[in-house]
Parts: sequence; C-alpha cells; structure tokens
Amino acid sequence: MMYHVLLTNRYLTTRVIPLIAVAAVALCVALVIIVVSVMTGFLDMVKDSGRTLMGDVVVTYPVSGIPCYERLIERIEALPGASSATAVVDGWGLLKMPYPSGRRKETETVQFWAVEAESFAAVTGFEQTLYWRSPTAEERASMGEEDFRLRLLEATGPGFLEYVYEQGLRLRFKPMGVAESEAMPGAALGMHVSIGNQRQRDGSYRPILGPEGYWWMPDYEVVLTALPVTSAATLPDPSSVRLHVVNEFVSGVFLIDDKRIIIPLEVGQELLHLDRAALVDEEGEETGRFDPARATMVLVRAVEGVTPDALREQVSEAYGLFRGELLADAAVASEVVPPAEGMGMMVQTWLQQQEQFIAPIEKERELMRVLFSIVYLVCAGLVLSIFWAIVYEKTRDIGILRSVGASRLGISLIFLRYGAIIGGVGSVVGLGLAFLIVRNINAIHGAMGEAAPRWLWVSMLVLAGCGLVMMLWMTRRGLLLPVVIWGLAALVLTGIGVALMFHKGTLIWDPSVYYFSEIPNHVDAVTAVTTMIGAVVFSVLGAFFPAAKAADTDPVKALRYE
Amino acid sequence: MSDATASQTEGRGESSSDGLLRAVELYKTYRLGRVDVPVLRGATLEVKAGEWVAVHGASGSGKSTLLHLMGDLDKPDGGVGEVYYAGRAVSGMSRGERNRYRNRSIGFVFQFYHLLPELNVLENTFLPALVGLTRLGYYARRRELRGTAGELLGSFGLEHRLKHRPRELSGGERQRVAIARALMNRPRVLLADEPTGNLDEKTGGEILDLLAAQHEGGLTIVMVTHDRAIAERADRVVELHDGRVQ
Repeated sequence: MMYHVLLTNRYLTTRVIPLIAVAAVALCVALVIIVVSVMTGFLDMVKDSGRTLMGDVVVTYPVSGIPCYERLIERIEALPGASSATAVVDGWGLLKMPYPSGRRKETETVQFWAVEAESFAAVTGFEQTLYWRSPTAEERASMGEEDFRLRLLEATGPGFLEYVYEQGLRLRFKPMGVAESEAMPGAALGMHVSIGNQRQRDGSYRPILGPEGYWWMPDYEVVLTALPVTSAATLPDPSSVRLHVVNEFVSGVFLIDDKRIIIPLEVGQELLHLDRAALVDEEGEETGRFDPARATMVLVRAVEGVTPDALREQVSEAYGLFRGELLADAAVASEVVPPAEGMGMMVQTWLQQQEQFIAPIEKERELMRVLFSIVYLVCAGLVLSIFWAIVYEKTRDIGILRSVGASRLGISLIFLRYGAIIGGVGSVVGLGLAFLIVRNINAIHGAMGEAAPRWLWVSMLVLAGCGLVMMLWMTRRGLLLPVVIWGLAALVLTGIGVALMFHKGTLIWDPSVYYFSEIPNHVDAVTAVTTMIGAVVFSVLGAFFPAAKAADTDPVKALRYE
Repeated sequence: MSDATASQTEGRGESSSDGLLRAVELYKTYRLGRVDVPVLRGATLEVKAGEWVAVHGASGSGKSTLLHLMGDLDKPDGGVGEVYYAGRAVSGMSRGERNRYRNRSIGFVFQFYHLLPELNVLENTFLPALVGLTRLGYYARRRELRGTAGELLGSFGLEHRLKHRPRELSGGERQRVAIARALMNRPRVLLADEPTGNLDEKTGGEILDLLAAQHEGGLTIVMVTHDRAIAERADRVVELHDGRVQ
C-alpha cells in the first residue's frame, strides 16, 4: 500500500534511530563476513597450496622408498587421467648456512625434497614459486621502488635474473663460461630458510646487508647433511653434500618456505643411500645383482577435467599392476618389492594427504560461523529494542492511521517493511564495510604492527582539545545535551589519541602459527550472501513483535496518548 | 462500504428510520484500576443526513466516547447497543468494510489536530486517500489526489503552506489541515471532537465558520463540545448527561 511506502520512507529519513539500527546491523554483518571470509580464505589457501606443492595424487612409501619407480612413473603417465608424474626423495637434514662471516656458521634444520627438476616443474607449480626472476612489465609496474629485484636488475642488467631463474629450474649451478661437466648441484631454498631474508611491508623480500655485502643466498654455497637409514633400520654415518644455492622460492605456506629446500634427485638419493647399488653376499662379494634406485614419493598431476579422486583410483590400480610386475621380474629381488597399498604404502589425493591439517581448520571455521552467528541474535535484539522504542514513540500515529481507515495488518506491515529495509540497507553497508576491511586486511594488519605515526595521535589530541573547547562553550548556553555530546567526543578522542601514542605495534597474524605469511583477503561470496539474508530475516523477526504490538494498539488509547 | 452500497442497504434490516447515522442504546464502561466507571448508559442519538448536531456535556460526560463509538474507533459494550450507518449495523460489517467506513464515510477532527509530524501539510491531507491505494494505483491517480488536496487546502487559505511540516503551523492552521484531511475522501459525516478546544476564541470562530460552510454544502456534522456557545452554532444541540442523551 502506498501509505506504507510514504510513512516508512519518512520514518527512515527524518529520525536518527533508524541510522543507529542500520549501523548496528551493518557492524554485525561486517563482523560475520570478515571472520568467516578470512577462515574460508585460509582453508582455500591450505587446499590450493597442497595442490601447488604436490600435484593431485601422491604415492608414498617413506624411508625405504619405491624401487624401480621409473617403471611406476611410466605406467602412471600412460593412464588416461594422468598428465605427468615425478619422483621425489624426501628427508630431513642439517643445512650449514654461509652466514655469519667467520669460521663458525649457522645451521638450520631443513626438509629436503630431491626432485628431477623438469618433471617436478610439470607436476607442481614449482616454476611459479621461484622468487628471483626477471619480472614481467606488469609485475614491474606493481613493484615498490625499494624492491630488491629492481635493484638487482639495475645492478646486473636484465639477463642476470633470467639466468638465476634458469638455474633454479634446472637445480644446477653453472657460472657463465664454465663447462657443463663442471657444473655444481644446486639447491633452491624456501625464502624463510635463510634468516637473512627480510619480508618488507609490500610483501617483497630483501636480504640483510652484511660486512661483505648483501646476504643474497644465490651468491653462496651451503652444506646439507643427512642421516640415511639402512634396510635393517640402523643409522650409518651421516653423509654431506656441498650445494650452491641457485634460487629461492616462495610458496606462501610459511612452514614450507621456512623449512624446505629443493635439490636434485640423484643428490638426495645418494644422501639417503637410495641410489642404485650393487648387492653383495655375506662375504661382501658382489652378486652381480643390483638394488635399484628408489624414490620415497611419486607425485602425479591429473589432466584437465579429471578429479583427484578419479585419478587416485587409476593410480592405485596402476600401482597394483606395477607391484605384480616387480614380483614377476626375476631380476628384482623379492625382498625389495614394496608392500601392497595400505601397508605403509599409500596412494592418496592431495586432499587426503593434507586432511589431518585441513579437517581441524574446517571444524574451526564452522565453530566460528556458529559462534559469530549469535551476532544475528544481537542484531535481532537491537532491531527489536529500537523498534519497540519507535512503536512506543509512534503510538499516537497508529491511532491517527486507524481513524483514517488503516487496517491493523496495514499498520503492522509498516513496521515489518521498516525492519526489512533496515536489514537490507544494513546488510549492504555491512558488505561494503567487510569488503573494504577484508581487501585491505594485510595493510591494516601491517599498520597495526607498527607504531602509530606522530601526526595521527597529535591530530586526535588536537581534535579532543577542540571538543573540550566546544563543551565549555556549550555550558554557557545552559543546555545539557550538547555539553554531554561534546564532552563524550573529547573523551573518546583523547582515549584514541593516548592509545595511539603508546601503541608500539601489535602483530596478530603470526605466520609461524597460521601457516601462511599473508592473511587471506577475499570476501567469501557464499558467506556474504547467507549473512546478508540472515541479517534481513533477523531484522524482520526483530520488527515482528513491535509490529504486532502496533497492530494491537487500541486506537482510542493511542489518540489519547501524549 | 461505499455510499452507494450504504444506500442500497438503507431501509432494510435493522433500521426503519431515515437517520444517516444512528447510535442506539450505547453502553460503555471503562475500568480504572479495580473500579468500573460507566461512561455511557444507553446513549441514543440519531443524526439525519445534512444535519449539524452538537453534543454538549460536561468534561468526562462521555462525549468523546460517544463519538469514537459512532466512528468505529471503539466498540460498545457487548450485546446491547448498536451504531447504524445508512441503515446498516456497523458491527455487522466485515473488517474490510469497517476500515472502508472509517476511510470513506466518516471524517474525524480531533481537539489536538493529530497530524503526522513526519508528513508535510499536503501529504497529511491526502493520507486518507492513500489508505487502500496500491503504489501503482497511487501513481495512476497521483495528480488527481494532489489536486484535490491542494484545492481543499487552498479553499481553507493554506495554499502557501503545502510543503510545511505541522510544527511550523499555528494551532488554527493545524486544525484547518486536520479538517482538510477529514474531508479528503468526501465523507458524508464529519465527527468533530472539541474542534476548537485548543484554540483561542477568534481562531475557534474561524474554524466554526469553516465547518458551517461545509455544512451548507451538505456535510453532516456531529460535533461534541463542553462550550454551550460553540454548541449553539449547530442546527440542533443535545445534552449528554449521566451517560444518556437528553
């Protein structure tokens, strides 16, 4: 009805109360969207990183490794659902770093992945994670002036970073003009492995400056030491290898970037004694038979359109055939044939492999959603109390409307419509607020991590002073309300100013706790829509009781209401 | 219920009289705390079409209550009394018909004007026309409605006040807007509850002149007042005493 439209619009636009209600709904909506979006983004990042780092399906047989893995890879690559597969040897070791200056060097505990560079890049997103490379024109435009890559470009010319990138891809260090035979095995380090790499506010990395120049890792060599395990589960002497750092990578997963290094497959096999070896008899004489080289993992990438689960089925079947082939092969000793799937030997999708990590996050997100959904009730309560006040204030209007023929239902609809509009407008404003905060969450977090600039807290205190002057001026006019408003403003501004003055920086998102170095900054569409609908529904529910009260108001009493 | 419908029902059923609006044997008791206070004790009043009747009585004699019952803002105590409009019992009407009765057949004018503070003078005036109109219906008849309200206000000397809010008007101007609102849907009966009670003598006189002019145009008026001099402006004065019309 037209009078609903007219009155709702006027009630909304001529009073302060609806603005308070809209602000309350907007804050509730923004709160839920921000929290759940960050949690969802966090979960998505975990999932995405899993796929980037290990492909779609992983075949693992830790410690002992899968012998004749080349045959398994050949079988897998022949599968209709697999696009490529690669062998990995993984283990833990100690990495002697080149710093500090002097004889005594720092040592880091690292997880090494020994890979065959070309196929590893085909299965995973390794090449996109290499950090030291010549930026594209687009990347260059978004780089800050202080980006260390730009400095390198200026100092060395465009070819150098390309060369470093190529070395990183090949995992071989071959200085220009040196023969290929003299090339040295290379290692790509996670960006946080070296404590010399410091993350800047713009997300770029800069090595710290030592007495002999920047501790830029691709200029240095490192020594990796690992403990192999024998087939009798004993530990022989540790073995070490000298590697030249060829590049560094940023996967975005802090634990990976902090601990992992990528080295050539044969180096890893040698370190862990998983390379091809002649078998000897009890007297130590060579039997003429060989223990084949092994890999502890085979990573597989699916062709476009094949789900990881479908590929896992195919790979599992291929593994069964591969094992059968090994058992039937007289050249392969039966004791080296790996067990059937399930007996320490696993074929999993990346999601299953990460499940232990993902499941708690999913539960945490749902818990957050439930807890923060209580905010909806706050929203409904706010709307209810505000509308109760409005109906109370509008009691006489209800009597007037009844006297000109408005029905009870019609009057209740005015207030329901009012609730729906407040819910709708509050939702849209809340979405906008959430969008602004989530998109800039890393910048906000960065700013919170630093001491507040002097101009900010000084301006707050100056404004507080102005508020105080206004308050004193208002006391001369004899009205209490303006005095209270200006006094409160002065108090709040003083509080903010003092808090900013003593704020020396608080970092909430600790990358070592939260796995990723950046806070997810995408608004989750599903959450946004459901939250907005929820806010409208609860606002209407909040308006329902006052609306019913309005409908039940006795027009005669309403007209006598003063 | 339209007036046409009212005319069709007139003369059959409960009423054999030619009164346009009839209150028959109305009883109303209010409860104040634990005490029942009888206000109307079988009040009966018949108002003929085109008649101006003044109900005179002391404060608290039940004048306003009688008016509210006749205008269907309140219900008489059950089982006994009845209000008839154009021969049809109001209590026998459906809810929708009663809403339409208040909207189209009756116009209310109150002592304290009762204008909506958020609406301007023009909007307050055409408010009764909006009740029952959909948004589409409003856009189709917008010009006509605004024109009617504007003409009414112009005839009351308020053409320069159309966009003003009630708080910006004097008491006399507010009461004129309230009368314009009551007449917006061209009702047959105007129920005026102490229409000059809140105004000075001169302004009150102007309001009564205005009502008299409408009455001359054929409008039926029931006015309640405690002031004998004001009551004398009507065609007929009845006394409300002890809850009965004397």
